[in-house]
Amino acid sequence: MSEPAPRIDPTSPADGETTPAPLTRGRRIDLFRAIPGLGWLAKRRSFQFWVVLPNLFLFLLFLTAGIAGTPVGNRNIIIVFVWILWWFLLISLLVPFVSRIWCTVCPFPFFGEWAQRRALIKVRAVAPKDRKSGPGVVIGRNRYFGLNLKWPKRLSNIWIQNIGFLFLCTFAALFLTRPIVSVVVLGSLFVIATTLHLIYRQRAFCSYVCPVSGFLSLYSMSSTVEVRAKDAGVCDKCKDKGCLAGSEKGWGCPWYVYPSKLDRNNYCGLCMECVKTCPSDNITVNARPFCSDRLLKGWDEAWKAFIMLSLALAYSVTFLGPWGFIKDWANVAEKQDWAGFATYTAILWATALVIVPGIYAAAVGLGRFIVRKVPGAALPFKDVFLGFVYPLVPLGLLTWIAFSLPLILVNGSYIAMVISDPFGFGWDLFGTANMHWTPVVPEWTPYIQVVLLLGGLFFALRVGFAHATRLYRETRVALRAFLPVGCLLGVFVGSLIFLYAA
Amino acid sequence: MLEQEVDYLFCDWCRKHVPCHRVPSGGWEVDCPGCAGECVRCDCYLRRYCFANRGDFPPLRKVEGDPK
Ligand code: SF4
Ligand code: SF4
Ligand code: SF4
Ligand SMILES: [Zn+2]
Ligand SMILES: [Zn+2]
Repeated sequence: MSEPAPRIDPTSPADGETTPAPLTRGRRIDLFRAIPGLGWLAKRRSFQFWVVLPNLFLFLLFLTAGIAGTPVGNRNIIIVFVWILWWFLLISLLVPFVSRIWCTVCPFPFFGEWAQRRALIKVRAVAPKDRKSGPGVVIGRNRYFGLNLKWPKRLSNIWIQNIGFLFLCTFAALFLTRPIVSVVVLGSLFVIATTLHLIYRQRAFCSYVCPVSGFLSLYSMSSTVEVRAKDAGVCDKCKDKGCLAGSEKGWGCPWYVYPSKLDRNNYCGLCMECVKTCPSDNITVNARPFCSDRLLKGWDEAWKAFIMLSLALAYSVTFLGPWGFIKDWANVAEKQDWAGFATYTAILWATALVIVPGIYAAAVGLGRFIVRKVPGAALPFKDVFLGFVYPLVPLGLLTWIAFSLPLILVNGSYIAMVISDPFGFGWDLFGTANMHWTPVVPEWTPYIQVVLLLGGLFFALRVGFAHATRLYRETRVALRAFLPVGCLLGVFVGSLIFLYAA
Repeated sequence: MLEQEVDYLFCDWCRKHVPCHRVPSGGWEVDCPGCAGECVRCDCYLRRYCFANRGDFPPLRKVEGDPK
């Protein structure tokens, strides 16, 4: 079926000495060995179904509450649970510690994936002789339904997610106050996810479109778990390639990655299919040190880092800063100040897409300029830039945690309230509807925030310097090249600390 | 160093020759260190092989001087 590949492509340039020295690879602990039963659980065919199902019902409850319940934001479960509790858990616990575990339990692709597979739990495996017959489309050894088109190559990046996320975040103040807006957003996510599943192969929606996916992929690089092959030697000899092609035990990787070769967390949705399909039991879940994946691979990923950092900065200024008029601008639903909102939007988008990346690029350029005379230090701009943007992964993540902390501390009481009265109808299911919440240690909040921000700066400087050493090899050159970016990071953290603690 | 009796393709992304193996179930598999299994975003010429035996393969891009 395939044509022979050329023995060698003679027009290509000679191999350069460009293979980068590997960044430090820390220790790994095989969690399937360390935690009895975990591997067994992940191998159950019904595993993902049973963890998605409760979330599906929860989301349907949220949507119902958004439509039928009170329009008062902080009395409606959809606002309090989705934008406060879920967001906080996601950014401060799930992503840093368990990578994209949210994608394991996420209900959005449920209906689409069901339509593609026409199965909730079982697998449709195809014997080679039946490849040409039968309904649906055969990919690898699995049979799928729907159009199963290939996602366009031009869009095989996270730009749609970048823009989508920025767009949604522009209306943050609306989400936080109007339940019906949340219904529209979450409902559309269900509809778009399902439609794209019917048109494109497997998890195209998740890989390229889902607005949540972008920051999950970026920040999961820092996460302390990973799905990886145990022994590369076993994969080299493997004739089955079940992890990629699927088998009667499971589906080929729904996320379009080749689990055997996987080296970063970014695009692995922790669905555990490869754990089931590998005939040699060669895939496992490892625990690993914080910030173990360190290579950004494209401008889209770098811009994701800028967008996330800019949003954290903008929200801190808007919601925690002392400037009421900015808050009024952002909150167009309450104030109806359309000119103000337009100004706010323009500033936000310019900051995230042009100003912050521009300042950063200037700092990277300055670093390259400082070491320009050093022999062998004339590296391509993109290589240095991507290396030096990476510190924004730990820094951005910890900045977001620092920002989200007061959100949960201040609004904690609403969580107890809406559990007893999810629709805001005056119910009191668990006797917590009128609980009065005194924020836990509010006077400590700024100190915790400062510690988080300084921790972010520490990790950022450490991984940034590791990149500088990888690129420039010599410590002194690396230090000088990284100096401007390092200072910039320091200034950023300094101003945030001033904003939070002042 | 390129070895005898091994097929190679040149990867634009990694700027080097990468070995490719015949996968028993059909198709080829390449060891592209640049995308490292991330067929999902890989832009390289080798991307079409990353799906090994996942189904249809477009014909190879004709490179001048290709052996027949
Ligand atoms: S990428 Fe988005 S839609 Fe897909 S599983 Fe993750 S959060 Fe859900
Ligand atoms: S992970 Fe398993 S199925 Fe995949 S290549 Fe390695 S041994 Fe084969
Ligand atoms: S590599 Fe693919 S199949 Fe394996 S857990 Fe990740 S998304 Fe699932
Ligand atoms: Zn490559
Ligand atoms: Zn590739």
